[in-house]
Amino acid sequence: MTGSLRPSLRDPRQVMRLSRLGSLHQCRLSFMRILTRRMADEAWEFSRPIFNIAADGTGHAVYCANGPDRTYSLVAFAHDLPSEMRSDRVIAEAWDATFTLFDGIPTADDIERLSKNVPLQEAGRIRESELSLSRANRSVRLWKHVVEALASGRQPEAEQLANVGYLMRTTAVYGSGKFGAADREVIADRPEFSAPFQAEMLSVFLTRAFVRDLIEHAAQTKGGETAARLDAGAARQLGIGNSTGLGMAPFIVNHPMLFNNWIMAREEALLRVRQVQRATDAEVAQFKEMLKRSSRSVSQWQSDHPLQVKKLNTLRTDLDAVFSHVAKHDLSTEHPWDQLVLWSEAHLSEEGQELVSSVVMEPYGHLVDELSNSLSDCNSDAFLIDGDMTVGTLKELIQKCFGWALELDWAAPENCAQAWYVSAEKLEPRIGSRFKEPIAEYEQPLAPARDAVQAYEELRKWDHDKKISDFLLRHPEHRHTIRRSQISASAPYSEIQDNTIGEDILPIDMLRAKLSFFGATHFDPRSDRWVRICMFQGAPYPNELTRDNADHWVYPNLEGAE
Amino acid sequence: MSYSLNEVEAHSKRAARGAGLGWGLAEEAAKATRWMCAQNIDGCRVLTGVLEAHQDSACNLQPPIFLVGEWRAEAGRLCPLYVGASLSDCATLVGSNGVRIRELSHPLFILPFVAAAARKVKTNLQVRLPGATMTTNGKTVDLAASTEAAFYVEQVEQVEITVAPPLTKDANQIGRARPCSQDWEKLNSFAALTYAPATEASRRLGAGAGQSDND
Repeated sequence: MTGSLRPSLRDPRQVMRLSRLGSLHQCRLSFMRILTRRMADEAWEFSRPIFNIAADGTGHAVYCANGPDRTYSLVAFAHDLPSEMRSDRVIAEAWDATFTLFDGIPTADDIERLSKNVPLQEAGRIRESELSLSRANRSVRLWKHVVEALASGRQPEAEQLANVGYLMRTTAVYGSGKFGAADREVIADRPEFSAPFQAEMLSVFLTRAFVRDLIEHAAQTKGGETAARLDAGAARQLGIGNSTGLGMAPFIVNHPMLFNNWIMAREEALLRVRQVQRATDAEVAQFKEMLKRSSRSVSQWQSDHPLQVKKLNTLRTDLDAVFSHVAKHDLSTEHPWDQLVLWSEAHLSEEGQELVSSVVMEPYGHLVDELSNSLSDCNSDAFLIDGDMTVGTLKELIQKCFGWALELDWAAPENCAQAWYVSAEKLEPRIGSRFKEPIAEYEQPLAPARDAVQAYEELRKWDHDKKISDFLLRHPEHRHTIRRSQISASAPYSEIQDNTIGEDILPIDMLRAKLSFFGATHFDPRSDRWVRICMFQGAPYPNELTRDNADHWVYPNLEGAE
Repeated sequence: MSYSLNEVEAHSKRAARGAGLGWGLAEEAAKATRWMCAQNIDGCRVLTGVLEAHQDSACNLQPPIFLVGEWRAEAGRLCPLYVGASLSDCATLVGSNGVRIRELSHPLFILPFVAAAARKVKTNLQVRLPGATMTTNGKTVDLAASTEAAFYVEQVEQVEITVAPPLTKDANQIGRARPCSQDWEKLNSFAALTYAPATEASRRLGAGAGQSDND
């Protein structure tokens, strides 16, 4: 087999299909890893100035993260939640614990104010001094088991820990100005928050430390002096769960430039690695180690959802094939990673291909990591429409981005079976049947492909050399689509190359695409529109963080290795 | 109560859509409102006025007939959102020749779009209303008038946009908006028109839950 001598960026028509976006895995550019690498590089210090939790498990605590220029504090509130009120759905009104990330160190007055608002979540108000708002519920079974084991002086059973993977799962982590919090713009020029979602990731990182302290406190209250502390190795294997529904799905459609930047950075990273002419022995060894550790992570990945079960079985077969291929084929040839990626495209499922794409980046931090600087969207004026563009040029943009959609019969019920809408009850995005529910008139603009075809049909009636400003004067209903088309000219990965309203749409594909960039693992769909994941599983706790453990924690250690 | 600018933008977008505007114009109305709030202008008040005028058949808000010569409506008044969007689209024209506009409703609302045009063609632009001028380089604005009311007028016979000398004022953007509660509630009532009333089916299926979370 001969590889291409000049690999190029992968075609958006290959990358931006929903099934592939729904098969993405974390990589070096994941937001959690960017955060832990930076905090370790800059030697951040962590402290717990307040842990005011009563014997009944209620109270509050403060965890501080001190960076080079600023301190951030997680303010955590622990509650006594009756089990019948425990719901992961966004419509819940009470939680086991609630949190905010405070910009600085909160005073007693701040904490008093926050105690009246943070536990209410959406029904409360926070201020510009707060950067996030979140809540978490216990995994009831694991929580009970761990408390009972520790209280009686024993460690919990490893199998039970592995089966769940977390003691609490968050059900929303809000940032960017939501419910009165500081706007993204307030923190965007701080180096520690220049990459996306860093404040939210920091809040989850600190939440994990709080949850560990809280369960040890509960065990000690129950068991007294003979209670055990949670073994450090066991604690490492516990992440923070997250349960995510449809609220997150529209994000990647509503932020085309930002989503482009995420995909573009990952594609550019993959290209740089594929361009490596020869791999050193150390690089090959690191790839092989991470592949084995990745395989271990996959072996621990559990799901009962039929679609994911099937994908996992295929992924495990894919991994066997990769091990076998790597054992037989020398990685000291020219362009070894390009060869491997080309081989994966011919022999593996999309899950397997994307896993290979992520793992080949591991030895190449020096080529990949600086791309974390290009993940954010700093060009807000990309929003502005260029009215001088001609109708002909705009039509070419639509053909290039949505050529496949122009061939589709959008009037066929199966191609427009669903509609996205916002529910009056909880103001959250939903998807429903266009023909069975009274929702069509409330449809959100989340079908860019269909809308592009509608605009194209109208543009065809205009002369090629007419200006778009004149077209839009007559057809303002197409402004949304014209803007997106112009963004696609400079952002080739801005649009999902699939039908987002077809009868077979799986919103979990959109959720996974976003969550994979967070760095989530162990995607466990609970339905076609609802997924549980794990965050920071395997990561060092704040006071354990060093340069040596800040990066590869996402890959579980091999048996016998430390 | 203070709101984040992100809240202002999200709220304004829903309100503009609820008032019947297309999604693209609703997005632009929202960005415009946000920009005004960041300049310490009461953007929510201006947007509320524009959306109410849209509902009022007596106002008969219209887009310009053509984007050459003097911009005017065929009948009734020009809508500042349509005019604003076109000003931003035609930044090159605005930045070279300026534009004269007749019978414009809520003229202050075109300011963020003129600012966008100024950023696009990297020039300074001035909007002249009777008794008031507003000069912008796109990032900041210099307002000059005998009374604040001159900016918030509901309609003017003529507006002139011309290229202006550089601003001497530094950018002084603010990070919070403090709209009056009546305007916020009015926008809320427009926004509510975009929400689908819940049905049993949507409660059950819409979010895709249904399994126990108490595990």
